[in-house]
Amino acid sequence: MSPVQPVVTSPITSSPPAPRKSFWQYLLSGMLLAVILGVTWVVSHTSPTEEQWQAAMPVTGELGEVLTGRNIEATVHGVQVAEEVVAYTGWAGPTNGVWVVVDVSAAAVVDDNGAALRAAELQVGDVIYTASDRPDFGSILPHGLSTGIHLRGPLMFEVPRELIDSDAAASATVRLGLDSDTRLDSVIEVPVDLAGIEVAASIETDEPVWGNE
Amino acid sequence: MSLWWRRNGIPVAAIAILLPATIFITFSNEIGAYNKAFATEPVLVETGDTVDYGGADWLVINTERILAGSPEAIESELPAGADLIVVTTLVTPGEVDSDGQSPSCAVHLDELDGDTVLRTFSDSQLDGIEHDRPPTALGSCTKEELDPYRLESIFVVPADANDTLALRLEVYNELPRFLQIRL
Amino acid sequence: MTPAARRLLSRAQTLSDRVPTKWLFSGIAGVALAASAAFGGLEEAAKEPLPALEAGEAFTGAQLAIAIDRVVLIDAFPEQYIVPEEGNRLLVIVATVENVWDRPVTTYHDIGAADNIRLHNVAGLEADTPPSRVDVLSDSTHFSTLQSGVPVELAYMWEVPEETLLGVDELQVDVYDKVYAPGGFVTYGERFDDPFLSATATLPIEDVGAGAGTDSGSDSDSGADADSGEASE
Repeated sequence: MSPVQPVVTSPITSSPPAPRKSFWQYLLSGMLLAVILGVTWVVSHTSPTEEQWQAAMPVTGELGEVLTGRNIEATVHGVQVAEEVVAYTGWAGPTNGVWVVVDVSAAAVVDDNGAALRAAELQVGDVIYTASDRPDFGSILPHGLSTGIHLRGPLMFEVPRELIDSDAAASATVRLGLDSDTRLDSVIEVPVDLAGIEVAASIETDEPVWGNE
Repeated sequence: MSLWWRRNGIPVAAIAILLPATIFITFSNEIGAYNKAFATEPVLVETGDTVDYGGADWLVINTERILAGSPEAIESELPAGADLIVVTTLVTPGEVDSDGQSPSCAVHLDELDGDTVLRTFSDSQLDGIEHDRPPTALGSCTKEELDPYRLESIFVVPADANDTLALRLEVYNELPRFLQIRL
Repeated sequence: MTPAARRLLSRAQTLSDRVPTKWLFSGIAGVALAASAAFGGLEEAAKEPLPALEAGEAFTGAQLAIAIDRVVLIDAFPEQYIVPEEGNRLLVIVATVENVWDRPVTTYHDIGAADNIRLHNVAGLEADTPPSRVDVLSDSTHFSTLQSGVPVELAYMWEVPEETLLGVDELQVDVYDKVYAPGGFVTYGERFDDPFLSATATLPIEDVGAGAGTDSGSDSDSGADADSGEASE
């Protein structure tokens, strides 16, 4: 390092001349800056976004498989599509679309206090449909869930007719959870294939049943 | 450099102490307030003991377990694979509240492993259980009752629930304290 | 900097020092006004008239496509236990609403389709009164949810004093649209809010009195299929 020049004038009008840095020192500073910027870029691009660290925790499986989350355990037994659905209560709701009827079993795992199937979704592509409340107690949607004891019954989704023939229908997903806001808790996800399913004229659904086989 | 420290040492030290202290105090205040609203402090009660809590004396006088598949289970129309646990508690209201009423309560069944709660069951959620409650017993805490009464709570549990069970009783005004009565 | 450039700069600085500041601002204002002339001046832009819908004609907003089908005045729907207070009747707007968004939309107030239809100037009713009920016409489901791409016939109901609509033949129905708002820093989830008037429909009021035979099918609104007139004043 070159020696510091002695102070010659009063402090108000001039400052001591700075030590002269060599070319290599400038280069080194520049490179260090570049490295720090590079690291910052990598960190900011790989940090989880708010969406990611708040996301739901999916438990995925197949039709018929019992899937267990933190406090929800569910099985999707099967899927049917029909123009009309008649529930055991006598409800028969007309629709301008078609009904997708999903046969589901659900139970709470550790605590059933206030537990219910408040998230019951069918996702096809970018569109999300929620299980219909029109059948009222004809579907399992309004029922509370019980710890360790499964409730098996139908969920009805009202969807546009064209959906069944669309490309996205082959990779639809049934999603079930305890809270309509699915963030930060388990959700059960089961992929279903709706493409080209035969649309029945009418389906009858039974009364939901409690019990473990 | 040391001149800078001599001038600024005390303020820096003050920040180093005060900042974490502020964060800690704020957090513990908030968490404390949050916890007080929930049942987080169990009062452990052994089988057969009477306990004074929330303005009444509580004593579990009978516990019954109806097994899945048994004749009573079929009569009660229990779901497949489920047992029915019936707990009868003697409630002796003591001091009444400002409205002259005995305490209201929330009742659950805890399945334990040692001291850890494995699962919690709510009071007879399932409709259609044909269990007849004796005419002398009430199905839930009744605030208008000022004389001692029997409280019968029923719980439908999976047949694989173990035998270390406790009745969890909460009186709202007593939270976060709640009773965990061994059955 | 070259000497020539330096000289130019110092001359510019001296000159600008001499210009009074207020001249600077007036100058900027003048330039702005001149520029606005290119866009038609500062006159209020002529508002496009709101579309006037026919019965059954749909208005497609950002979230919902709404068509007003009928306006019906009826005493009550006793089967569905919808009975207004003494001296009141039910004003029902039957509308076909389709969710054109890709998420389900509730028919409830403040966050859903109940906000999208209002009555225009009905005496005795405050402007902007929300409907007391929004039911699915076919099964009377109370405040249901509209799924994407599925049009549903809804019945919006208001209680009105009997005398209010005596002798009134037509009713103007106001259709509102909403503005999309993505999830924010403190709020979670995208939503539609800030309803604004976007279309009107003027329909004749059908007075069906007490409604068609009250023991017709248990899951249909008895009054809605009231062309088998039992209309009485």
